[in-house]
Amino acid sequence: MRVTKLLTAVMFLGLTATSPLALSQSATDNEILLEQVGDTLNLTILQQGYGNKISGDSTQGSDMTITGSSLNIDIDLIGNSNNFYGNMTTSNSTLDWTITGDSNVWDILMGDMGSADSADILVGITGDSNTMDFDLGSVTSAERLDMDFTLLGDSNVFDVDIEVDDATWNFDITGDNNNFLTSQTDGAYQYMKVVLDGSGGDFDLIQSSGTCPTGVSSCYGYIDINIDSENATVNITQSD
Amino acid sequence: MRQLILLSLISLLHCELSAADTIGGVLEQAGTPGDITRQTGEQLIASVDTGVVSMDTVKTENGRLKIQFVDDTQVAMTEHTVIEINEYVYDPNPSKSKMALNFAQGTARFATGKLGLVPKENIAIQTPTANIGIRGTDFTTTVDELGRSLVILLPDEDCTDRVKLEQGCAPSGSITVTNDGGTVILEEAYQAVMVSTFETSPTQPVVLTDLNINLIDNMFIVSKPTQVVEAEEEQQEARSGADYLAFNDLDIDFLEENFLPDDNLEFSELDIDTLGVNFLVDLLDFLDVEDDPLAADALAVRTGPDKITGTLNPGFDPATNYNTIIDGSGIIWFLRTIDGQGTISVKIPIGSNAKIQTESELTPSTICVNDCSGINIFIRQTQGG
Repeated sequence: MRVTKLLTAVMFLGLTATSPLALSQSATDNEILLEQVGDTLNLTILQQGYGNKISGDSTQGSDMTITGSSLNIDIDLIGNSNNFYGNMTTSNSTLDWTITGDSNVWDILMGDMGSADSADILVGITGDSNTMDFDLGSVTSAERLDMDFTLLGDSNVFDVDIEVDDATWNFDITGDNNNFLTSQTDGAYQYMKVVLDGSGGDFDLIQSSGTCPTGVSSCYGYIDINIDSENATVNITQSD
Repeated sequence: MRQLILLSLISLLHCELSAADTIGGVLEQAGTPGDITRQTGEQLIASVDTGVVSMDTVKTENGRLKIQFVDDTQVAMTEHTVIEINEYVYDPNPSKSKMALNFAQGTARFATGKLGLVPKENIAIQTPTANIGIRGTDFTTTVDELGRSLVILLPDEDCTDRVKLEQGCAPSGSITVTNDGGTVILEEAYQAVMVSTFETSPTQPVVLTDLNINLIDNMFIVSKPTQVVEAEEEQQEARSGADYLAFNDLDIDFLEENFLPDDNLEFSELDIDTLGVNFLVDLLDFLDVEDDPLAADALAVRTGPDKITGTLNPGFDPATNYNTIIDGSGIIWFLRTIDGQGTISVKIPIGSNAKIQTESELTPSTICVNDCSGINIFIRQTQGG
């Protein structure tokens, strides 16, 4: 029988710890500390406020860890100066992350310690001066990614590294003076679709193919960029 | 009335032949009858009520004809036109019905059946240089002896009277024109595109502002209006008179007054025989000249105020490996595909200022759009990381 865990955490002040889902409260800002192992988790977090954090064991200063397959994780951060640190190993999972606010820091590692195949990731960020560092598939398998990213705001700094096969990576950026670095490497049939709308900004797009599937001699990628800007700088590097 | 006769013929043929055989027939015919060549080599005279079947090749010489298919789709052909019916499947289940026509030569007007018995996505129209995807209902194609194709999207059927003509007409849907050089979407009434070869991109769509449905209809008149017939008879009588020189109106085009609008024609009236079969071919030649990148004035017409240097515009430039497409939706599209390296597609709005610098094992290039400032794009497309 399929067992579905449902956790809905509406976070205003703090939560207590449970196992295997560990939640505890920091002495300072509001924190959600997650260490989750198991499949078919449905997790919804709405965190509102200033200076909040989602991470792992606070005593060790670790990141949030989530391990399992067929997960549905919906995280909604509303407010300024919030932090979201995590290490996720999830296959066949749907991740829906929304950040609304300024000066937030988001650092996520996915597919570092185990497979993260068939991820469907939807990210929406509205705000200014946010910082995001997202790495996917740097060590282990992370095939068939479908990632859609929408940013509405100015002066954000993002670094998104995707190292997977068969990735569809769409991002849509509206705002001025954003700094965006993304690489799509070590995979076959890479596809990157970019929509940029705003003044200024510096965008670096890197795409390089890795090993082709057996019997296929050429599996080069495709970068599709649509720019409406007065003075953006865009660097595109594509190699097979 | 003729439609009823044709439908009766089709019904009769359905009784005599297998259901898959007769797919339509000649609805109207004027001038010297054309011919219909069966796949078996059998040749028939294309007179009214002659049936057509899949794999037929229909050809006109010094005459015109209109074919109607069982789903009510009509194809009107002017002189010296060849159409091959590559496939026609009519099934009570519309999703299984399909049609494939090859407009091999000449000028033809295609109007999908109002009954919608063949889904538009199952209709494939080919010319020697392009594939036409049907999302509209009414368009013309002209294919000249070089295989160049001119496609014009026509307005909807309500756009007939003078007031509507002046107010502007809604298109009869939209159509796509695709070849190895890219895809162009026509979605305005009288929007036209020309394709020179299958490898070069279609031209930027242009709206033939002084074209109207009467003008188009004139070209495809098979059953001429009574007044036209009368005018021709009068002219014939005059010509048959003893004293040709005594008749002063020999050179009058009686139709011109009735069908031409009073406003100025962008395409010189003096060069166009409005009833002549060569009218669309003339337009095709006109657009082909416009496509010449060396014709600076023509370029201005094609791309508005935008000035693009460093690569061929529009079309594929083997020196830069960029295919430049002005896609009709206000976008300048630079497409670069290098086998073994990948594809980079850059789209910027018409009117932007941009510089695109490209480094690769092949020839480096710098493309400027307008004043070469504004957006700075650096592309490094290489083999091996």
